[in-house]
Amino acid sequence: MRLRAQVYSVPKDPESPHEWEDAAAFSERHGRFAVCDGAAAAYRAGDWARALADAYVNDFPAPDAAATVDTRARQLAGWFRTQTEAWRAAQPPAKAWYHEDATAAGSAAAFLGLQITRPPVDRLTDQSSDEVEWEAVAVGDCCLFHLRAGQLRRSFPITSASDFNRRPDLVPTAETRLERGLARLRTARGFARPGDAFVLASDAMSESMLAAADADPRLWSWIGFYGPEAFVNLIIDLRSNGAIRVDDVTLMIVQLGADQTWRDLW
Amino acid sequence: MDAKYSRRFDRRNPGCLLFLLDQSGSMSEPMAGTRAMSKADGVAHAVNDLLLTIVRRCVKDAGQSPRHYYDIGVIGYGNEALPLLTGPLTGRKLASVGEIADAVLRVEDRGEGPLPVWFEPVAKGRTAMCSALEMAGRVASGWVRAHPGSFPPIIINISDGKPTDGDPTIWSERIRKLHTNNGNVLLFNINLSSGASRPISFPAVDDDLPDDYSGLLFHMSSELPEIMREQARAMNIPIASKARGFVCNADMSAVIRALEIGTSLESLEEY
Repeated sequence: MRLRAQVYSVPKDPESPHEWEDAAAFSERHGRFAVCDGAAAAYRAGDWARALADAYVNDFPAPDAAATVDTRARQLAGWFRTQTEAWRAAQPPAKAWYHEDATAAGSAAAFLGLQITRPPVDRLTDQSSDEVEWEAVAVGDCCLFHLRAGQLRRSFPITSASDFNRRPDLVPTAETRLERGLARLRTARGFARPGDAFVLASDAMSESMLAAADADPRLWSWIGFYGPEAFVNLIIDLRSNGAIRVDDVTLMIVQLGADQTWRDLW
Repeated sequence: MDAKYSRRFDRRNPGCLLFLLDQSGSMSEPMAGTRAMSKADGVAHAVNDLLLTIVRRCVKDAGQSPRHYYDIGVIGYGNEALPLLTGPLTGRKLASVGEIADAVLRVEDRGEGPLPVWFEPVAKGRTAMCSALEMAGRVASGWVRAHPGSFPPIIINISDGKPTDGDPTIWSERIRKLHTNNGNVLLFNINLSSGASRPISFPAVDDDLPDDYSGLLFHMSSELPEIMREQARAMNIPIASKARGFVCNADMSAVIRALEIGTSLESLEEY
């Protein structure tokens, strides 16, 4: 099945796009999609978010249908440990005492990855369908939304706008804090079929969409209609109305079975 | 227009923090809540730690100076009021957080990473608090004119006794009338104790204060805005809606808590 991804982003300050501290990466061929959000107060947060997103797309262990939940959890935790070790080993030299201090404190980012695979036939719920299996891995408040026919089927790992707070779970790079971060790792699995869509979003956008969909669930049927320019205008409007926090905004839309456009799918 | 005390900090709209430190002779007395620290030691320690915390919050990019989210000034007062920034900042009453980070006296290594020191403890002479308030008022006045859209300056005065150069009320009133379009300048007072008296933190009324001078400092102090009351609640410190930025009989931990609450602006920093 063909997968097609589009990414929209608006930096917190549109005049300083280089200070975007979210990251998005995808490989349609490998069926991997990631959105990460560098922690506001952290050192080199955007770089760490980018490193995590790229590493997920290029080098994430594929789900093994035979693996137990515990085995998979250990495998995922091991992957994150490897990434943080590589990050710590590749720090630029400190130019001043405060770089040395910041390097020791490390960086942190919220993480969301989605992997779509063709499952073994015996795992299909409908063996005649073109069904795919998906696995999502998250630490923190970047969210995944699984849509079908313009309706929300699942929201992960957060399901309500009221559950967002200013102290989200994060993947820290510091060895001393890593295990605490990994204890917050969440996974979800499910099946999807042609015509479905996944939306991956960083926290401000996720929170705003969940709040808006509470008032009008039709949001899920029109969110994909925006082109890049219209999306920027939407975010600017939402910010001026106070309907979204001023933060980096990232939205990735993954369409399944898509030789079709969003309009054809709904 | 933004609600009062809600303006976010970014490089186009930085904040301003001014610390006024009593360096009079009585600051050599022991600091309550410590084993062997004088009040001057305790204040220098607390302000050095606070500056480190603020610098950390502004260091974001490899190889770059801390981002300019704050202008910071430190004024000491004994026989006279003097700006305490040193090195290339000697004589400067305000400097950006990046300039402050690059102007440490020294960086110590106690095995837990670099520990910068900006100020040494000083305890000498009288208590020229009015001169310090006047200097702070002049600095704040110029700053609000240059930054009308910013969160207003926060001035924190730490002392252990009465001023020897007049009545500070007039200076505090002038300071508190200064404003940006996001609120009036905030003036907080921390009154140090060397005895075993119980600290009174952030009172909303002056009923329980031990003497007239405490009452005077209470009335000189601004009410804490909601963002700081929120921080106090997050630290499990009970706080009333009209609580003032005033601590009476402060021991070491009360000083540290008050500085943390009085500069708790992280949720408004650019992110």
